[in-house]
Amino acid sequence: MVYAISFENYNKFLDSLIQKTDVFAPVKGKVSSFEKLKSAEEFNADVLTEYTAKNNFLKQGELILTHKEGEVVEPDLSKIKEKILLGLRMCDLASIKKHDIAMNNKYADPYYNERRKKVTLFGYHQKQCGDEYCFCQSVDLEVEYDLFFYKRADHYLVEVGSDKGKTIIKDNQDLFEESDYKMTKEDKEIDNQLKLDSHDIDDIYTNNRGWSALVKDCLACGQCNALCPTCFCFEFRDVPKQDGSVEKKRFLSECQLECFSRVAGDHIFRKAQIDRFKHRIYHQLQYFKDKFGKTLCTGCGRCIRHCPTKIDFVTKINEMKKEAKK
Amino acid sequence: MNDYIPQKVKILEFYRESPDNFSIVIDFKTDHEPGQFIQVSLPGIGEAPISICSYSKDHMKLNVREIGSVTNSLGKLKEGDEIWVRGPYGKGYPMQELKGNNLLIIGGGCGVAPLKGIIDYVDQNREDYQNIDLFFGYRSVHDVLFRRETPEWKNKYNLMMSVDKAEEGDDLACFEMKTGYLMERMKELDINSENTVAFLCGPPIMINKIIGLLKEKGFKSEQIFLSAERLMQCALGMCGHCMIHGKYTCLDGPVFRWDELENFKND
Repeated sequence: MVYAISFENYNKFLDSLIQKTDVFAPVKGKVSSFEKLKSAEEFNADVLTEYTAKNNFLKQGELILTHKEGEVVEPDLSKIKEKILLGLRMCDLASIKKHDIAMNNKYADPYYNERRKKVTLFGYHQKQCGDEYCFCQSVDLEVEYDLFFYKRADHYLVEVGSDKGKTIIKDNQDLFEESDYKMTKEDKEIDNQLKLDSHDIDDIYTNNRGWSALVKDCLACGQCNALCPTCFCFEFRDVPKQDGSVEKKRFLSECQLECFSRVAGDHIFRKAQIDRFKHRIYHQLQYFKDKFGKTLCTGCGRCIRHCPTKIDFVTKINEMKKEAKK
Repeated sequence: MNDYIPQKVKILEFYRESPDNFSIVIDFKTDHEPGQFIQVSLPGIGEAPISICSYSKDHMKLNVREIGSVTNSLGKLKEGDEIWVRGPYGKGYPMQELKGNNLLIIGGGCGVAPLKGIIDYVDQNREDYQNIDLFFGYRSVHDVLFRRETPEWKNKYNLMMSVDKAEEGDDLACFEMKTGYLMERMKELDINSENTVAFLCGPPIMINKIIGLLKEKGFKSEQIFLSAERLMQCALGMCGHCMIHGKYTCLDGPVFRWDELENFKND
């Protein structure tokens, strides 16, 4: 069943959601991230944000525990507020699904899972999604959502992906209309200019010449890690408070920095940038797939688009693959 | 269930092994395998993975080198103080599968610590294994660890110890210690690879050289097990810091069979 909602009603719908819940979406003017909406007008659907929505699940500075008066106090996770994320592109939605897997490997991460449980996901389809750096059609895009919006000339078509989504439609039934439109494959297409020929890259692992040529421009700044929707590696820091207690907090960490693989005694396992660069690419395309059957990368292209030296590893991997086949 | 939450345990015994290394016995009762590790934390300092160097259900012994912020702070504690622990984590040495083999146990410096867990295990299951060789190398006489246990090891097993450098007046005689790199001393020995497995732990440079030597002596990669060192943050297979070519050292290791790692030294 597909629903339709007019632009006018859509704005009413958003405004009523904003009254009840925190709604985060790409915001007009501030193009860089998902911001809390004050009104429906602020939502800018045309922007593929620089910063992704991952901070809503893997919160920077997440309080893990507090050491207080010789005891450990667990934070009250029930206080985490419900929120709605709006305007999620396919790549961003897919990254959430990957995190669901990564954060529930052998052990479950209670902080991630609580935040995840309390987020309602609204997908947003854009055929001309990004720019020349998008390659999402070359990787695994598996998504979960509550509602998914497709823009038409004068209305949105809405697909329902969960019971939660169904309830939202039901609660706002005066704004949505049932539609007998059948979604086609074409409706869901996303245009890519960039194509990764294969993400099976085991055979080019030892191509030192190829990787060196790619890495020579890398500044090891870690921007790719910070903006990647799927990079989830993290570290803990103990933060002492004035009252004598200590808070253990979690922050995302960057595998492109030397300190990532440092151990006591200052031994750094991935000292050379080529090893760090390859680690990122292999984690994204190979390791995660070997373990869980899907690439970690969602092909959003942010790591190329916002790279200070625009390192296009996709084209280079295609070249190396061709070379390997010869 | 929140696996990040540590529990408080008491230090039952604290004693120095060397100027920058100490052993502690903690009141932590848990089932574990030799080669597994726990996460030890001190509020305000941080958390660090420490290998278990005992094999007992009643208590746990840790051997620690003071080299980072957590370990330096641990070194300032005393008997009766409390620390925070969680675990045990990881995959240890596959002792059950290796029954009937000769064991070649090779350690360098504080790398001897996880190997001591094997020795304790073998003590309790001596009939399951054939010859036991212990080859330990230290920087100097002052860095020799486990002096309390060494006399017993010397009686029970074939023990060879060497120090990289000796100075005048150093007492090498007590454990019949040799001088020079452990690898050089091992070259002189007649080591038979048949029906033998080697357990290694130590600094990367030493490990790489000794593996080369073992290969020369006829060992296959499948006969070599080593304990990898990484700085785990979560130890739960998520944080990514301990990843070696897609494998989590905290879940798939810290003990790896050499063929799992040999092509991926810098990953």
